[in-house]
Amino acid sequence: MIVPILDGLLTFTKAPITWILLLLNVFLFSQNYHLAQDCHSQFQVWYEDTDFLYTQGQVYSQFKSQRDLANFKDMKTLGRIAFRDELFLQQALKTPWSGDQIALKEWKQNLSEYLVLRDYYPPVTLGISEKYKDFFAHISYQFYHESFYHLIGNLLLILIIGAYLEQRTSGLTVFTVYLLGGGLAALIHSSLGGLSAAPLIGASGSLCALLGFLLITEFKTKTRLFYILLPMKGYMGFILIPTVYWVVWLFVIEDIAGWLAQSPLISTGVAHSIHLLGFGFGALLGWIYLRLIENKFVLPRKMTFAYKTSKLQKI
Amino acid sequence: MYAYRKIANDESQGNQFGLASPADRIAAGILDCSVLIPLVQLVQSPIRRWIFESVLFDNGAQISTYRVINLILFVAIFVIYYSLMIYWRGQTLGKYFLKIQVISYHGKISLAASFLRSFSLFTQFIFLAYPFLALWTHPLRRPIHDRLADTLVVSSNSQEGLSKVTHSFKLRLAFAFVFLLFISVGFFSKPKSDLREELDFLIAEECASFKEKTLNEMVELFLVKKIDSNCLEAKGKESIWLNEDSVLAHFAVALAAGNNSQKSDQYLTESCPKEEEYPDEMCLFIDWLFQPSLGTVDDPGSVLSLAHREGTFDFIKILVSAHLRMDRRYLEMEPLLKQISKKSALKTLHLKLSFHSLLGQNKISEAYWLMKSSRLVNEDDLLLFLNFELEKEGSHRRDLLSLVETFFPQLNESIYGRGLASEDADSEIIQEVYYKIKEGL
Repeated sequence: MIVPILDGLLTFTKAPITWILLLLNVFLFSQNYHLAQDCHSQFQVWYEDTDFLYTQGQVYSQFKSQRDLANFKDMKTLGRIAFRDELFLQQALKTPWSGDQIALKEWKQNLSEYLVLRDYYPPVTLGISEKYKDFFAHISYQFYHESFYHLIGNLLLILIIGAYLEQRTSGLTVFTVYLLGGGLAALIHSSLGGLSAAPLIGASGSLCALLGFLLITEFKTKTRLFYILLPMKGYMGFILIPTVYWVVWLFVIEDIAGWLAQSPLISTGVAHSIHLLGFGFGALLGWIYLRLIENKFVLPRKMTFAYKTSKLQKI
Repeated sequence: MYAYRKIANDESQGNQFGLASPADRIAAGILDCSVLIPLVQLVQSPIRRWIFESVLFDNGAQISTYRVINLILFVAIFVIYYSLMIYWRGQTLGKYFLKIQVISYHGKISLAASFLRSFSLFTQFIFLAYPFLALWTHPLRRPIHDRLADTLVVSSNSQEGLSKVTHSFKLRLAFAFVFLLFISVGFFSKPKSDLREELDFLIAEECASFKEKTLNEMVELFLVKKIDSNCLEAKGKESIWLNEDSVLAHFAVALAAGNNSQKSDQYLTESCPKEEEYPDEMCLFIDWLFQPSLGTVDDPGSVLSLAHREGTFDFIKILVSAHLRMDRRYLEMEPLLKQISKKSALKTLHLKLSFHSLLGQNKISEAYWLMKSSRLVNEDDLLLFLNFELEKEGSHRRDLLSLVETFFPQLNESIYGRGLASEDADSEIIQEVYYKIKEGL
């Protein structure tokens, strides 16, 4: 395992803007936690109801064949895919479908309940989806996480990367990259038709924008990472690697691979395209920063932390 | 002559080579994985997408195929990387960073030896990595892959730098916590969905073997307990959605619903709506299920007449036969049983019902021979019939008891010990005999 550690976890006084961004994330998460959990547990019932999924798959198959699209045979998978199609969800209750009328009656009742509950579900109201894609959604989606682990994972990295950048640039820069990078990534993603009924949430896009910014502004700077090969002395510690190597190796390649492997029909739960767009916009903002701002306001670059030797050779 | 002997001798004479420690070798492997996995994912991604979509489109591919191909691809990339790197430099990236090297007694490692070493290295995981124990047990730390390729892993400055690395205890604790947190999340969150997928997959696989069967054949197989209700329900629902033989399909789903009587009734009611005229024989049969009166063979509107017709579904004959048995109309069972006897799949059911029919008609000797000649009719069937007789007022009890005596001479005392006075006495004897047979005499 290898993780970027850079300057470590800095305190509020050293990186106030990064901490404010983190606290906003925590605030939104905690405020909506119970409602999200209640809705989620009810959704799980539908997602695991094989009869419901099978019927939805059959209906969706009819919906798709009207548009000369693929004719799937695995109805339960198709039923899951249907949850992502906003147009289908809008028309599902109004259209008379042929087939098993008993199953259809039950399915329509469940689906109508699902659609009502969906409008109260925080990831839908705060996230960005085909139904909710206004200006507010482009901002709010960057601050909301559904699960605790999603939140912790993102916040730890934001704290490490954001605080590092805030030390070297300014709080305003971090704030701008976070908001603009994540917002523009979502805007391009939605204008390219990448949105579905399933909401996009999380600070991953903004985190990737910060990483893209770091990649450009600290391209060859050797930054500190923590590695653990074996949990024993000599096989764990810090290593200095140029930023470009580890950002590309640990983050960009994985997202490109994920994006290439992702079928437009099925969500893996990770929006790789948003990540890649985030990297792109972060890098662009980094380039703008270097060209326009840093030339005017030269900031001191202090590399104050000391590195310890390790068994690993320095690159 | 093996390479390690020479090197061992050299080492004893002060050779500069030292054996690489097991920890170094494992750490090098982990580092190789960390370096390679993003690249492997990148190479795999278009193939993964293609395979995944082929699974979705159900082009014959199954989830297991997808997993196997992914695994093969994963191993192949690693084997190629290891082979080329060991052949080229004697080191992979991980080994380079850990300053260890693969050497061969024969000088430069050949490409074939390098490939053999790499391939056998990965195949050891089939044996749960058990052969790697040789890293600790073999005097020269040579697991199978090293011995096959006649190689040895050495370190020129094995201990250098190790002792210099120090880390604060708090930092190690913090990272160990984060590490364990993510491991535990992965550990507790994955199996549930995997298990559900596996279960769905197993059901689908089991039902797939009956894919070619027609719906009425599926119903018959379900009645003789050769298929699961899930398979019948799936087939029935598929037929409903495809608008194929709607009445039979609704009946199949109702039958598969089993104990869920509400669902079962819904599907039966839906199959033949009352407002429409259905001359269909299936509707006649379904009406009979709601009002089970068999009627007579001569009445063309009766279900018994329907069952006796040539071409009527065999499962109707089976169900009507079973009902005739309940009504103790054994004589009328025979022609129906003859018709279903033609199907090998229904052989067991046919024999069992025939056995009951013969006993019911007082054809004890024929029943005896049927039981003797066929392994498919056994003591359990006799017990079933005894139980059936206990519940109903029977007229063939004495003959039945004589059959029991033929099979179980040791029950003579129970049957004849107290004499055969009345029907009530027979009931007591049957009860006693029944429990004795049930409890293994």
